[in-house]
Amino acid sequence: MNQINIATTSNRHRPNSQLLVIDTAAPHPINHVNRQAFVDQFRAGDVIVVNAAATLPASFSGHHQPSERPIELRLAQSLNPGISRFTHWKGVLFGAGDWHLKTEDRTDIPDLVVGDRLIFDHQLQAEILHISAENGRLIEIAFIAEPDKLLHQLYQAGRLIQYSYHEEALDLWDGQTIFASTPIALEAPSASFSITWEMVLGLQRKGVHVVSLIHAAGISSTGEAELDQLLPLPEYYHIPVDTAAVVNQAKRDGRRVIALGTSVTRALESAADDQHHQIEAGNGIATLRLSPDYQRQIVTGLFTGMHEDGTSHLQLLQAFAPWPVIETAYDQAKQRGYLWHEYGDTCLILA
Amino acid sequence: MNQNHWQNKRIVITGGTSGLGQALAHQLDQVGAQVVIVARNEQNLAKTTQGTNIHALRGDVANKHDIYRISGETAGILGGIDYLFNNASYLGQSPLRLLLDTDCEDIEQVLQTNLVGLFRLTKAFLPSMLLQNSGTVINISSDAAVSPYPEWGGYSISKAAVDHLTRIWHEELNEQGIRFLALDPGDMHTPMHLAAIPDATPSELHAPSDVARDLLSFLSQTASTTNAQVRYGRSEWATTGITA
Repeated sequence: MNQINIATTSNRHRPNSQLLVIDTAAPHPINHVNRQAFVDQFRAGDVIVVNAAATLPASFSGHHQPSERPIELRLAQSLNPGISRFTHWKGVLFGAGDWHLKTEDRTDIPDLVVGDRLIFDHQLQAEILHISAENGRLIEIAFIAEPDKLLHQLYQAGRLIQYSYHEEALDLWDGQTIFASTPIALEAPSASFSITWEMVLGLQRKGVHVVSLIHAAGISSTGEAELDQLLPLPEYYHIPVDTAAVVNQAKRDGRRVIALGTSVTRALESAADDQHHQIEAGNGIATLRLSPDYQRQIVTGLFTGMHEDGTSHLQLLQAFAPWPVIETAYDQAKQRGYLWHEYGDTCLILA
Repeated sequence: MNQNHWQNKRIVITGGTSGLGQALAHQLDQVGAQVVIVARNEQNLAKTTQGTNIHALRGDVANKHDIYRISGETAGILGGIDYLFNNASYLGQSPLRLLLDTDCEDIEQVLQTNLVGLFRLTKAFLPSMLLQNSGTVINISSDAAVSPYPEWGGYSISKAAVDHLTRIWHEELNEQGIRFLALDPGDMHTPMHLAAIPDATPSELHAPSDVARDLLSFLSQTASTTNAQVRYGRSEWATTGITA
């Protein structure tokens, strides 16, 4: 495959943003359009489901006690019940350095023992409760704080998780989508970065239903293949009653249901019953790993970013279109200079 | 006041530790609303929330870095939002001075707090409202937004801009179920008014608690109206209570 270009800044309003449209039912399934033509891809009766999760600062730099060695903790999965508790987490530890360094160069961490402390800025501390037998960097922690002060401390001491391909440090502002409401995502549900409210209002005027859920999108990369294979970890989601009603009616009518982002896909498919192509409202844990042979119950289309080879996201795309089609489309996208990663160009797959 | 209207409503008030903001917070707390107040000073927050169910949130609306922390912490506390009172205001350096004598840095700070900060915070809270197809944004205005009083330059300009920002947002989003209002509370006996006009006669000024009561009454009575009026002068909304 050709080299990919990467979007290295958080600019969301590039005038020449490209949109790859793969419509598996069309005579010419692969099309390249300007992102401004996003709304044109939809018709009255379509349902678009968005992730209204706001992104938490989930990266905490500090040191390990007793070794005093510098570490960074990246939150990877909430172990708390519901959306208003923030104490218990699964996390991945990184060694010295920060986001400027490649994650794969930061896998050397101190020797850990259950009960050790991690000390961060703003008097934030965490205790190690469990160390994974599969990989010593994957740990369970509890922050030590008054519960009603903890979220404030997390915002003060934390930064957005970010990667070495970024040119600049991201501000909390840079990690929020236009739907950001409930702070529960650990990395941004970034498909929506390229969406504007003008598009949303345009869709609604056209008779497209835009509804939301929240899904706690987790960490996407650890720098270690063995750990990355465990991703995505189980992720919390909540589907409002109104959203379930709109989606279920669309399924009964045979209308299209398009997920804005892989996180929405995971939530909707995890909430599906096996028989009737319907979803249940309420809370759940998304444990599904969507693979090429996965039989989708709910989602008929996916809007997402451009994903790198070997990632679980690229596996997920194959649940929507056969690999040869995706491979051809991706090759064309590379030739056309598409930008990869969360602030880059996008792809709409209609199955 | 229609107390039932406010029961369990999720409400954010900026500048909630003095004057009108504090009075709104206390009255809404008493009628069962879930209230978060945002202010910069921890001690004032503690004083205002003492003995109440009001949640204190320390933050500076003029600071861009605080915005998504404020909306995020609010979501963690309230789970969502029904009313946003953009009440925090900065008058500018006092004593007030002619526009030509106003420092550039001072007018920047006024606009940063009263206009840009208000814009940013509202931008951060609107997605929650838009996705639930309901919500009310109340921007506290001033008669200085309409009348070009000498020496009220920066503040006056910022409030005129806020009025217009409110109108534009109304035009763009009122079909989405969001209500935008710019309300002039009238001259009140508050620390800010004292800074602006130190020799004002207190008896000629409205008590913030009276204004809060009347304002909440107006808001609950008109909650289901969809009239096009966005900006209300004091005499247009004040249906009961005292007159100056």
